[in-house]
Amino acid sequence: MSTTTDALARDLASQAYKYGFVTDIDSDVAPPGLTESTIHFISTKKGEPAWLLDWRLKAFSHWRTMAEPDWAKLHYPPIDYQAASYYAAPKQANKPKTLDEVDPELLATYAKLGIPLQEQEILAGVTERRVAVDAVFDSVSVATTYKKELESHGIIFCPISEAVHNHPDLVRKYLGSVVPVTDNFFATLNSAVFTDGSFVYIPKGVRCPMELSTYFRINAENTGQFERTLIIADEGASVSYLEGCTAPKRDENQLHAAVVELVALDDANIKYSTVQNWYPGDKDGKGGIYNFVTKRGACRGKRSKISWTQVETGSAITWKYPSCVLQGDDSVGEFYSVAITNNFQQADTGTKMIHIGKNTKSTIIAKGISAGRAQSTYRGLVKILRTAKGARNKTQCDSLLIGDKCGAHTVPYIESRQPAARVEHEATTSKVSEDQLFYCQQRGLNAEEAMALIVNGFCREVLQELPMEFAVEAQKLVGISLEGSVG
Amino acid sequence: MTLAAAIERSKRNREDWKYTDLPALLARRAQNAPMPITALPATANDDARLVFVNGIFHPAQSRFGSIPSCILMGDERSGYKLTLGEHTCLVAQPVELVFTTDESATDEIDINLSIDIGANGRLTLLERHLPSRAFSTIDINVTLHESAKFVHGKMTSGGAHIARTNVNVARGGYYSHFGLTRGGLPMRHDIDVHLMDEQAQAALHGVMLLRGGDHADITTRIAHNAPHGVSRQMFKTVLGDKSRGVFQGKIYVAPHAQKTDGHQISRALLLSDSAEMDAKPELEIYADDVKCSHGSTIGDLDADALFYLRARGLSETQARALLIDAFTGEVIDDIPVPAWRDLFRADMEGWQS
Repeated sequence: MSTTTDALARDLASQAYKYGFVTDIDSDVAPPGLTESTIHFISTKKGEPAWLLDWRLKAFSHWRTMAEPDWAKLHYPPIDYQAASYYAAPKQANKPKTLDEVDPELLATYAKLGIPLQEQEILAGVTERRVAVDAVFDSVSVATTYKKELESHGIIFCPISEAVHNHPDLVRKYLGSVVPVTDNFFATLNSAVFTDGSFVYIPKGVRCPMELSTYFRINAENTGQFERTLIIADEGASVSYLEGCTAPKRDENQLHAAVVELVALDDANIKYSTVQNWYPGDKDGKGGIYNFVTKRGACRGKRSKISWTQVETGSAITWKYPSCVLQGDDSVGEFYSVAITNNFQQADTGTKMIHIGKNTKSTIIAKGISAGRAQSTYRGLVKILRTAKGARNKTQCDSLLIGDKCGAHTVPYIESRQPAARVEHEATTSKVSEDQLFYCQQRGLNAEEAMALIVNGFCREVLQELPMEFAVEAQKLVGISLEGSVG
Repeated sequence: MTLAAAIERSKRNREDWKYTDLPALLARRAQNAPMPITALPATANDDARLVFVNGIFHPAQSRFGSIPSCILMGDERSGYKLTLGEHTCLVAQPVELVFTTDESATDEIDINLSIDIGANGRLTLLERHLPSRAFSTIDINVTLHESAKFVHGKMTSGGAHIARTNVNVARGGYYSHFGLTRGGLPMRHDIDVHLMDEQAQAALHGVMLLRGGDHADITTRIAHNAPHGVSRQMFKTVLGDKSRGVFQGKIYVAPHAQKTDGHQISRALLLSDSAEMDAKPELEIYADDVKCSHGSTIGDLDADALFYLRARGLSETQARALLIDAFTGEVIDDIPVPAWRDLFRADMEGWQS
């Protein structure tokens, strides 16, 4: 192995985590443990209607009959579900009505994370792209920006705990309709104990005028975060939604089990982008978030489209398969993913594309980069049902290995029952070739720039799918891993 | 291996048997009429032919030709052992193993065979299973010593068949497999190849032709345990009627198995609305300086190609037959033994009509 890749592997292993600080704030924390009374506690805290409490209890009693899945290529000590606390919220005398009333400590935290919670005025002549943010801190949403402006378009963008009160019909109709209560171990756990998350409803024919975004922050110690996001795009609506997440550096592992449900009706379009940067643990594999997430979108309407883009750089364990159920004729599902793992991180991630409607199309592009002692697995399912005449799928999975102690794996499942469907899958595994590095260096780049260029090029097909603001952040994230690797 | 052991194994490794539910398939098989017993096919030449009737070696029907008769030892209880000494070369004289049954066959026939090829030895062997009403299992353990080479052909023609081929390849050894699966209910073949030392190579090829209620499953695992190994896999499946085909293929690269070059492709033609193909190609890689890839496609015949042939005056049936022939031809044309090529082709013609 060359000195370049050696140095790069060393650098990746030593990459610092910038978001590892702790905010010193008084919190309301539920005592550790998970029983029915925990669920009553959460439900009471949120002032929930009875139907939701019943729904949670039903999930909980089912969860107790379930076993944790073990098919993923992940190794971690057994999780003690009774040891963590299932609710933590910063203490606030009254719920703040405007941004000015939000605890300055919280505002400072988000400023430090680079998330603007101020609504910027549009300057004359400057067409700046704006992002509406819902900021979730541990178990509660602390602020949501641009609500007024969005309301004028009929768009609902608010914490899901608020939507339960203000839009109960919509929530009741769609909650659990894509990911059923009994879906899987982690989704069922989430259904029982979810605390907050975002709710989005885009009415018929409306194109959302700005990016919507939720920023999840775990702060409290020894807690799990269980957020629930529900996005509905009515006929002809379109929306682009971004999700970001970080957590402090801690030696203990913290559990994060989220559920995201998307519903796209006729001609609707949902673009969901994630930059997942939970604390990955230190260089010896100590600490880090266990990230077990169920994300699924239903293309219910004709010609609807759901597109998932994810950049996974954080978490000690990632177990995540954003999926599309392509029910409507001519509906489209997309999955673009970059997973970067280093040190002792493990990622088992991929997607499921279920083709049900006629002429449904799906594209999967997954890029995995492994460094240090990390293990990265792509696991994906493409299923063509007998009804999906004229369906089309194209899958491409590429893995890049940096160093000789990591692993990269590909486990696709391809099932077809329709002759008039075409399914294509290809996967490759390689390392950055000395020839490529040499070529770039010969053109005047130093070794480190050359490596950054090649790795960014490797991820390009995915990064270019991200909204602009995120693309810059993601490129930097990829870049950071390469800084100072040579010289 | 017995049927009971196979069922037990399928229950233990559910992920490995995800698409083949053995107990359910056996229940379905019980409802079908048993297959007729076929006579021993004639051979045109004097090549060695070792015949096994009901799982027992039958010298009277066998012919050793120019190879020494001591090549095969053992019996049906302790298992058979085929040994080739160092520097012994049986390339020009392919050996044919024929497995057949008669009226006295039991419901289940289990065969154990080990094949040991000494350093620099060369063996070309065809394993041929004739249709049978019995359930047959066959366990073959192959050991290739340094620089040994083994070209292994396998033909099955329907019925219930569970096979496991386990191959260990030493430095510089080469294992090459050509399989023709014509139907099966159920048919399952596990091919495990362990490349144990540097420069070991393996190439697995297969054609599956399925129709009616056939269910056939080929599961391969190639473990690259040492540097500079090369593996190639090409599997083609043609599915008609209500048949179901399964291909699961794994390329494993151990840490330190640098400079591994592994490639796998599986392609399937779905010719009927009721057929199903399931593919699970898999890469498990723990070394960085490797080149590994797999590809998989499932679809119907290319409409443009069909149109082109029709425009040239071929009937729909002729055009389809020609395209299917070309599809499987990629595997068949690579068979290094001309006689096998003809045999495979003749068998396939029978399937298409």
